Amino acid sequence: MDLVEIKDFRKSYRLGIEHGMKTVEAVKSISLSVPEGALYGFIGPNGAGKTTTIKTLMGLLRPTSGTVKLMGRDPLDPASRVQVGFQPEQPYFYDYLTGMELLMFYGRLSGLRGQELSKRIEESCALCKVDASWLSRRLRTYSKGMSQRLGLAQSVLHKPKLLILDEPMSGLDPMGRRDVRLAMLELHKAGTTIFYSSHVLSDVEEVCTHAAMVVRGTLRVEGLLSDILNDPADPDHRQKLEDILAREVELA
Amino acid sequence: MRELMWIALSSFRETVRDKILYTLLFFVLLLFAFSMLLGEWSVFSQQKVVTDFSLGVMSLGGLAIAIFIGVGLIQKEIQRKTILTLLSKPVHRWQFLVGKYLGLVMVLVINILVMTAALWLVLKLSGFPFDPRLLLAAYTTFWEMAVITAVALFFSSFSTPVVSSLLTFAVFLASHLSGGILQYLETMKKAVGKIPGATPLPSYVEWTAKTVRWILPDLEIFNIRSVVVHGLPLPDMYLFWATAHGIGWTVFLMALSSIWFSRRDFV
Repeated sequence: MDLVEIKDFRKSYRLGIEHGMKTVEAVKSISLSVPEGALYGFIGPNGAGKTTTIKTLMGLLRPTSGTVKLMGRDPLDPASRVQVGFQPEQPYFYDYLTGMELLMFYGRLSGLRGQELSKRIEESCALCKVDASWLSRRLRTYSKGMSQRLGLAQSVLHKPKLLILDEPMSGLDPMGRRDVRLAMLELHKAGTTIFYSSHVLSDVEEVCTHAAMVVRGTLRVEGLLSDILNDPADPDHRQKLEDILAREVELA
Repeated sequence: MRELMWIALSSFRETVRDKILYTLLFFVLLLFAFSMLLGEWSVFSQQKVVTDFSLGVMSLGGLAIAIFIGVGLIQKEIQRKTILTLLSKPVHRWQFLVGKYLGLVMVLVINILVMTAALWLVLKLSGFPFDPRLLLAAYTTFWEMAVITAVALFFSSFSTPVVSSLLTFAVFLASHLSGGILQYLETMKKAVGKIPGATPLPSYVEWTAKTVRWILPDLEIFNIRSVVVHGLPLPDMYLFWATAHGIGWTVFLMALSSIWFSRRDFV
C-alpha cells in the first residue's frame, strides 16, 4: 500500500500587492508514491518545491491542481494525520513552555494519555538523544540543535506509521546529524515508513531505499534508489546522486 | 473536544507566562491608583469618581489586552511557525482557533478578578464600601473583553497584526460611539421642527450610523458603569440579554474566523 500518493501536483502562489500580484509557480508537476516500509529521500536544490510538497502533504497548503493523498485520504482531513508524525524544517516551539510541557501537549493531541504518554516521552527522548535534564527548561533557552532533537522526539511520540521530516538534519553539528541518521534507521528497522527531504546527498545514498529528485518544481527522477544509482551505460558502475542532481539541474 | 481543552490549556500557560500581560496589568493597576488622586481632586462625589474611572480603566485594559495579546495570538503562531507542528496533529483548524481563544478567555477571567480585587482595595483605601453591584459591572466588562478579543482574532485570521490592531480599535470606537451619534441625530431631528433656521442633516449620515450599529457588536450594552455608579436600577433581564449578545457575537465571529482560517495557506 502507498502511504503517500501525489499525482500531477501543482502549486502556485499569488504574491502581494508590493510584488504586483504576480503568480509564482512553486511546484509545476510532481507525481510520486511512497510505499509502505520505504525510507524515502526527497532531494533537490533550494527552492525546488520540496517544502511546498511536504506542507501540502501535511494539509498546511492546498494544491492548485492535482491529487495529493496521505494515508489514502485528503490531507485536509485530520483523520489522515492520526498515524503520521511530522517535523517541519527548523522547528520552532512556544518560548514559555518547558520541553516536558510541550511533549505532553503534543502527545495528548496525538491521542496518548497517562502512563502510556509518560512511557512514550521517555522512549522518544532516548531515541532522539534528548537529555532528560533539558525537559524542565523553557524552550526559549534551547539551542537550534536541541530544538531539532526535540522536534524529532515530538514527531515519533505516538509511534507513527509514517514519518515525514523536512530537512531533519539542518542546523545540526556532525554528531547531531549522526544521531538523527541513527534514529531514522532504528525507526525504519522497527517498521516506520519515512519520507524526508534533505540536502545531504551522501546520507540519502547511504540510508534510503527510495528517492525522488525535484528541480525547479518538476520531478526529474523517482524510484528505487538502486535503480536510480545504476548507470544504464555501464551496469558495473554506480552513479553518485550528486552527479545525477548536477546533470538534472543543467537539463531542467 | 479534548483537543480543544489541551490547546486552550497550552495557550493559557503560554499567555500567563508572557511578560506583556504583566506590563499591561501593571499600567491598569497604576491607573486604578491614580483614580484615588482623581477622586480627591474632583468636585464631584469622590466615591463615584473613583468607581467610574476605575470601571472605565477596566474596559480600556480589556481593549489593550485584546489588541496586544488577542491579535498576536494567531499571528505569533504563524510568524514563528509553531502552527506548522500543531496543525500537523490530528486536529481541525477550527479546534486550534477556538482552543487558542478559550485559552485567552481564561486569562481574561483572571485579569477581571485581579482588576476587581484592585478596585475593592482602592475603594477600601479611600474609605468607601464595595458595592456588590460592582461585580455586575465586572461581569459585563468580561463579556466586552471576550467580544473584542473575538473581533481581534477575526481580523488577525486574515490580515497583518498592525491592520488587525487598527481595525479592532476602530470597531471598539465605532461601536461605543454609534449609539451616541444616533441619539444626537434624533435630538437634531426634533430640533429642526422647533428651532427656526435649523437644517436637517443629510439622510446618509443617519443611514451610516444605523448601519454601523447593525453590523457591529453593540459594546455599549456591556457598559453599565453609570447605572452602577449612580445606583440606578437595571432593567429586567438586562444581564441575560447582555450575556446572550456576548455569546451570540462571540460564536458568530469565531465561526467566521474559522471559515477564513480553514481556507488559509501556511507558507
